[in-house]
Amino acid sequence: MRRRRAWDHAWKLALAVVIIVPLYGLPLLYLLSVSFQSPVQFLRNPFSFPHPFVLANYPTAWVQGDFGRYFVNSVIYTASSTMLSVLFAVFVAFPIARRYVRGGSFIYSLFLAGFFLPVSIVPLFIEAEKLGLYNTRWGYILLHLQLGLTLGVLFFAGYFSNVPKDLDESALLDGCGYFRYVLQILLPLSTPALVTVSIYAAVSTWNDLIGPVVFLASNDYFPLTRGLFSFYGQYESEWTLLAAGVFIVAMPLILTFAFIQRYLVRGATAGALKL
Amino acid sequence: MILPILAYLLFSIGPALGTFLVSLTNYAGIPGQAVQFVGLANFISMISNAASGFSASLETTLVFALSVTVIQNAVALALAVLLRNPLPFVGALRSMIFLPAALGVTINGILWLLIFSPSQGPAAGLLAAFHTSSAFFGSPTLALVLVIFVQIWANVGFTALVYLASMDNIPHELFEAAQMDGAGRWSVFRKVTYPLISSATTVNVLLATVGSMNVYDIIYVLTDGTSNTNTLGMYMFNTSFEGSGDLGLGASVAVMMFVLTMAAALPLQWFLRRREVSV
Repeated sequence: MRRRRAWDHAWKLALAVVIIVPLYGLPLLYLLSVSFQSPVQFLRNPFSFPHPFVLANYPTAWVQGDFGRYFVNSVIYTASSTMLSVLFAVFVAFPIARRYVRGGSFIYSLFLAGFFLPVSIVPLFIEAEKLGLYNTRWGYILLHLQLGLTLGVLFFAGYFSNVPKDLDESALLDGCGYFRYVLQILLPLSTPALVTVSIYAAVSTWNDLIGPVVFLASNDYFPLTRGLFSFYGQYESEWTLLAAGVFIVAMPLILTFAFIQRYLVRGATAGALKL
Repeated sequence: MILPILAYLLFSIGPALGTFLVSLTNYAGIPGQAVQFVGLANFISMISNAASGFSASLETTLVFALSVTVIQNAVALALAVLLRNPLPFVGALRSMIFLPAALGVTINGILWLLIFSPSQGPAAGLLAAFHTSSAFFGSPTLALVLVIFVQIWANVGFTALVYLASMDNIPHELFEAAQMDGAGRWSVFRKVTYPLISSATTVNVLLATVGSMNVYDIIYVLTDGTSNTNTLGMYMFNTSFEGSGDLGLGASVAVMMFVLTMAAALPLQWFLRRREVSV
């Protein structure tokens, strides 16, 4: 019985490895190897281990692709829109969860409806032009509040309704102000929701490519996604440089992924199974 | 509280509803040109004019959405069954299939564009060894297949993880009882696992359907809608933002996408919910 079980596990592992590694591991590994090759070696034998081992592709790609500037832009956009949308979401969710306002359930369903409406990119573009948000940094940030705000209200409302109402009253008696109470007492009690919502909002803003294509026109404002895409268009034939560029952009994501993976999974499964 | 709701109305629900409004106009975004209310003219010309490319896009979208939904769920289910065993490296394998979710469409797209580059890519090298070649993403026959592949490749990890989470919720005694009764591996899956993850199936099938009917960012990176990969989403995007910049027509394509998505998702949801079993 036990032998059969071990054998059972062995073939399942073998099957999983045979399917997953070539499709998910090798393409990235191949590109990583190319990013350390010289153009001469790449033309002669791209599948061999980098020899000579060329580090110079990275600084060259960094400078020619202008990734430093794009990186700063991505950080500004992602951090601001995530923080702002979460902050907004918290102050909508609290009164709704507590029924401190009339029509709370209507507001809640308004936010829920956000998931079931048509693609809104065309009106957003028109709005961006009319309101002077087109091709500006803060406009770009405002145009990315959508996901964090929608997801945030739904998640936080659920969490806040589990916090006993007595806490509100005792905080009030102790002279704790509204904003301080929500941000310093209630929000820390909802850390799992805070982390999940922030990560989803941040990942979607960071990785957005359509946004910068539609809402931004000048190079100076491009985030990494758009910058990398331009870099690809420009250096399509210089593979060693291109591979280095891809890894310059991918590396921070791969490293962050190691830390945020469990929250992504938790959010995905909790959100999906409750739906 | 007022400010956030205002922001929501302005940047989320307002524009979403605005799609309906814009779809009834000839909005072109050209300064000086008056915007006129044209009623259903956009829809009529889109559907009746064979040259509009709408029917071809519709067909592409249906092929794309159906293939993605079915294959992605089947593969995810198989992966979930494999990866729920306490195997060595199972954590690493789970991370690997989920990584594309973090890398995003730009990196995912460029990665596969490079792998399938017709001139210098490794896939072309492989074909050359068999004395053949392909234009891959430039091939009118192969491009759609490859786009479907990349979409599944990028999203199957999420789907598998939802199945895995659902399988972990099944009480262990049920499996033991089934084994005790002499049920084989296949009948345990068929009679115990599969029915008990039906709520995850509902979620996964719906998310894949809605997602694949509306996605276009990955296609924008891979082909920009060329070589017969012009799904409705891509058609909407290119009509609105490339070439003529016909925003009114673009919005009406978005409305059509919405109608189609609802027409597919609502009956599907009703059907899937009905077959769910509670634990």
